[in-house]
Amino acid sequence: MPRKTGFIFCSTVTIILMIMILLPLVVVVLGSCINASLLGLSTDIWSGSRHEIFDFSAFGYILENYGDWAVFSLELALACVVLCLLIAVPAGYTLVRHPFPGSGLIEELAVLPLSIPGLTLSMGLLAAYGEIRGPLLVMAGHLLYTIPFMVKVVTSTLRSFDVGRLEAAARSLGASFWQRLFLVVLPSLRHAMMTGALLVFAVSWGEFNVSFLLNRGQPQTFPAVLYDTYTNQSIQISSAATTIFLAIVIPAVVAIQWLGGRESVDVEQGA
Amino acid sequence: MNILVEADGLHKRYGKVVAVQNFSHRFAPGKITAILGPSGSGKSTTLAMISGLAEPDRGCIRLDGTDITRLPAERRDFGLVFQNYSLFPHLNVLENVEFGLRVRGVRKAERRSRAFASLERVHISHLAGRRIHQISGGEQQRVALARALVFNPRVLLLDEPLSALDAKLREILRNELGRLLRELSITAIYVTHDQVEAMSLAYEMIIMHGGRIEQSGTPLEVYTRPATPFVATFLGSANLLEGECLVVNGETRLRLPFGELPAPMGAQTGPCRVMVRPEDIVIAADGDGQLHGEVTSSVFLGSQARLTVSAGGCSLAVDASNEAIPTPGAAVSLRVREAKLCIMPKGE
Repeated sequence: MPRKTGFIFCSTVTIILMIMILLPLVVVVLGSCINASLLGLSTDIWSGSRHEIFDFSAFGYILENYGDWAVFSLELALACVVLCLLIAVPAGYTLVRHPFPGSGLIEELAVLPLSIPGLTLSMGLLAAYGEIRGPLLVMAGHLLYTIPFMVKVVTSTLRSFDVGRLEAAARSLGASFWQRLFLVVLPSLRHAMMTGALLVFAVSWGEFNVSFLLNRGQPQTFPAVLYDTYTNQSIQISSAATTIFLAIVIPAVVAIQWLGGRESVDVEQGA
Repeated sequence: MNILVEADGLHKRYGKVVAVQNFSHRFAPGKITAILGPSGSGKSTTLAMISGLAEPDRGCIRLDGTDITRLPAERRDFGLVFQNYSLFPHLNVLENVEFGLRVRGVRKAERRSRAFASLERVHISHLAGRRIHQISGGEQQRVALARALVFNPRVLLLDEPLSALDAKLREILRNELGRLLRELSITAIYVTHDQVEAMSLAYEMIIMHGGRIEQSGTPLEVYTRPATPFVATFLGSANLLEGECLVVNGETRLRLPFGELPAPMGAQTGPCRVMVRPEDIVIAADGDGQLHGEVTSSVFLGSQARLTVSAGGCSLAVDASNEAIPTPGAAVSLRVREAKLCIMPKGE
């Protein structure tokens, strides 16, 4: 195939795929802010102003009625990030730098929750800790799902630049354990920790099954808003909820991609 | 900084493998000592024990008479340069060099100027603001050296510092490094598997093999008077011959497969092994040599040619000048420089 034809073919396929992926998102975002009555949507059980093309009142409705759900979900995701950093970074460091009999098995087991359905995990948690059902148990469920991500990011980064080598260099230069930790290990891990934190945030923010099953009463986490609005409300309101959901998670995902690119530079220079 | 480092009976085992056994040496103060050996000979483990990064199972290390065997690496004040440089990727060149001063609590202004001076000493002060991945391998090694020297270490340890570089750059850096270390007159221990590096830099050499010291001495001593066949063949090329020292008519003679020669001074009677370097066998142009043979192969090496000569039932490596290189099949007459013969006890 001549080069030009190949280019046109590949570009066309790429553009079609992009449209297929992005179109639903565009529809959702537009659906949240275009006046539904202009589209003749009779299913709309809630009506804002009737004459303007753009109508942002659905967002006001979401924030008014589900604002505390969003805040709860954000708090949960941020708490998850902090706890994951506090638990998974020391754990990952220990697994790489001071392996002990069975540490390999522990590393494998740490990623096990990822392969267990949320339903199973939730039932297990309920059976074991049913008496604390509520926000605390939701937190525990989220941690089970997010710690593996952080451990993986930390261990693979520590291995990629052979942290033991850098620590030996720091020791030879006179650095104590704490100086090595704060001047060498943690700074070398800063990209990994940021990537891990964003991953944890994105997973926790988007988690539905575990949160839904382990929580008691309200507020629920934000994905439950989507469930609630799509089942009970107009398309404009549920689109607004989805847009808010995406506005929080997409920057995190973009940042993960960007940091991933930076990470490879760091690994190269450390090699 | 004429610090005396002594190792006394160092022993280190990793699992079932004995990495180093009974390593004892007084390192010449203010001089460069090279530890030379093939990979797996225990030279890097020895350096790790001296640096404090590995703990010996037995033996002790003394610094000017003080036992420092249990002193952690971070409190030894030894500079260490690694083969892979081990620069901190999250710091720039200047910050890397400053590190040793930073952990010692030196104020920022002072450590900046001292780090800068250290970079100037290795001619790369213009790279101070660069990231580590933006500079070449040779430059990285200079940064590593500047970083190890910035806090005026008591001893400098170098673990194959040039082996990751290409041949030309290695030679340039080797010469610079030698000049710098002699200027500083710092006690330096230099681990390498490269004999040229060891011989050109070191005041004294330690040859290791299988975790043990085979021989130590000045490069000249070790090269011309190897103590064992291993040392003879590891350093340069050597012809190893079976021989016997005999007393004939009150004169000690050395009997070799191809004839008899007067024995070198001090030779003891009995079976022995004899080492002679290819450059110490010369082609007698007048045909009046001690032995006659036939050239079986000839390899041109630039400044000279390496011949293999079959003579008296043995195969000898012989160096010939590149002016008249005999071709395979040619008959040659050879003369051995008797003074250069080196006799080793048999059974080594």
